[in-house]
Amino acid sequence: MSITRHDDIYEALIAAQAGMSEAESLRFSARLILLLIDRIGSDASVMDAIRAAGARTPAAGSDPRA
Amino acid sequence: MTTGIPVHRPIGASPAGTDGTQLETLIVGAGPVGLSMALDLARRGRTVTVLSRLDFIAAGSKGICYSKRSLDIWDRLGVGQAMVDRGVVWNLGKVFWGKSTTPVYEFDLLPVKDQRRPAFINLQQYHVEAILVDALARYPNVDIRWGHELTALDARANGVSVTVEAPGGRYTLTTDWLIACDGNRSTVRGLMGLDFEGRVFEDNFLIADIRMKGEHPAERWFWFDPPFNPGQSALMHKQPDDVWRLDFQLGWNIDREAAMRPENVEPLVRAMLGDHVEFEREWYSVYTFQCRRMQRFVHGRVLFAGDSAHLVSPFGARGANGGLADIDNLGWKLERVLEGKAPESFLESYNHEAVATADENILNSTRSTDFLTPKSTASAAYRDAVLSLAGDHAFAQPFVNSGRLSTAVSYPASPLSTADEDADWNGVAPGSPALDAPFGEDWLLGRLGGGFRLIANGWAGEVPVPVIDVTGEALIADRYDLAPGSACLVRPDQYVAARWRHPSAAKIAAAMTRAGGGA
Repeated sequence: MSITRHDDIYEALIAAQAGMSEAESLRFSARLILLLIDRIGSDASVMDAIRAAGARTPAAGSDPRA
Repeated sequence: MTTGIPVHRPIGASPAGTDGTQLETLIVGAGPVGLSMALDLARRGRTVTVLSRLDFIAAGSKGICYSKRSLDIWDRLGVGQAMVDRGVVWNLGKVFWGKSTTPVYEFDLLPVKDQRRPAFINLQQYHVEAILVDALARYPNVDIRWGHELTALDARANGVSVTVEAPGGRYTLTTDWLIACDGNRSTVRGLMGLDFEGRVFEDNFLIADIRMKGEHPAERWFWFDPPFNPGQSALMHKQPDDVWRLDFQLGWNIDREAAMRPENVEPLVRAMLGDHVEFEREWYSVYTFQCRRMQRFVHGRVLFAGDSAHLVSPFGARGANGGLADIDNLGWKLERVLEGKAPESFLESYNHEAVATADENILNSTRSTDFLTPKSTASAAYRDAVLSLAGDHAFAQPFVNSGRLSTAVSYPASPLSTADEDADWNGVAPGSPALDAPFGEDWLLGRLGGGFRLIANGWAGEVPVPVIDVTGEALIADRYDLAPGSACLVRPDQYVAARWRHPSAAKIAAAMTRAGGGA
């Protein structure tokens, strides 16, 4: 099971939050994440995704291979 | 004695003791934990002395919720029915959010039915203490010294010397063992200079215990952000004698003295219950809370149990119930040491298991507190997202954390358990509390009593332990996964120690040696 409509999903995600304040957007995102957690339906996958989201990301403009 | 503390039952000071008296076991503190500890040891035939700083049973608002596990312990101590008869039985919790009168979440705290006891009773702490004091009066081997306060101690490797202040004068005594059940500001812990580490939560809560004739059901009702206490939480619980526990979150930067004055409390009560409601004040107080514990509960001949050893927030009813779990775990172990059946080092298993219980309680209590009082913008956003989804999406309801209520703790890594030799077990595992079930006209837990027992499904052999044959009891066989020919060994505190599909006398004897501390 994997997605194919990447650009549609990305556009819908941004459009859904168009015009929202930062607080409203945070609230939307929190609801969305909880709904997605339910759809994933696996403790291990959810915990793994939380860890991945918090992993160190390279600073903008730096060489990711370094 | 004049203390300013309201009196539920006056008793009067006991005469001063004789200098140099030698005791076997001294219990410091006469709350529910200390008194239950005394009752456990008394029923095992041990001689115990209890020091109570006050010479009366104090009234006022303290712990009110006692869990099924605590009722099971009190059944073993012969006072369970008295507690249930006096208390208000409840099983159901409801959570409300905002203005809505429809709960966003309802939970049944006793999902496994066919057990003797309910999930909880509510009972004022002074009623609990009165029942325990009355039960202890039947034991000539128990001496409760009312109005006697421990003021100094010297703990040595083989005993403890204690100084006691009493209205009749100061005296000294020595005791082989001292059990500190003297609460969150434990004098014993303070005098020994021992650690007490953890988090302090920056929040204040108002308790208003009121008397009124109410039609409200015996359920735990919890509100997030209700119109009568905007931006905060509230809780309502029924107690016996038409007393109701109302609990309002107040926030951090407040004037605590002002907050508990009637002219400030009563508008909150009327906002919650309606302008027309008629009620009388029973007790108003403001509390803050902490989640902390001592690093160790066993310090040579000084043993800590209850709030002296660990503190939690009240959401979850894990304070007094956690303390009762301690004394349940300690009583039979201390008995074995006193009888020479186990070495002193056996009490390390009390340290292991009671610390495991405290850690689970602190973990749950801390998580509940973080849900009630979010500490960051993100935390508040997720809390509100959970509450906003819970009404329409069943999956979100279990995320709602208004307190994870006390249940018995399992010890999967207990040094006293024997690992399963067979694979694919279901049912109650070693290190977990025995699960109740109907047994003929009786209940299984009632038949287990306070010693080692073997629950066997049609197995018999020459074993040094009473055998409870459950042949034909399908529900027990199911709950313990005991096919015909199987057996499980239960400890004196009614925890499973070992189980076998193919038991033998040698295996059972080895498991008993392991669970009972050798010797």
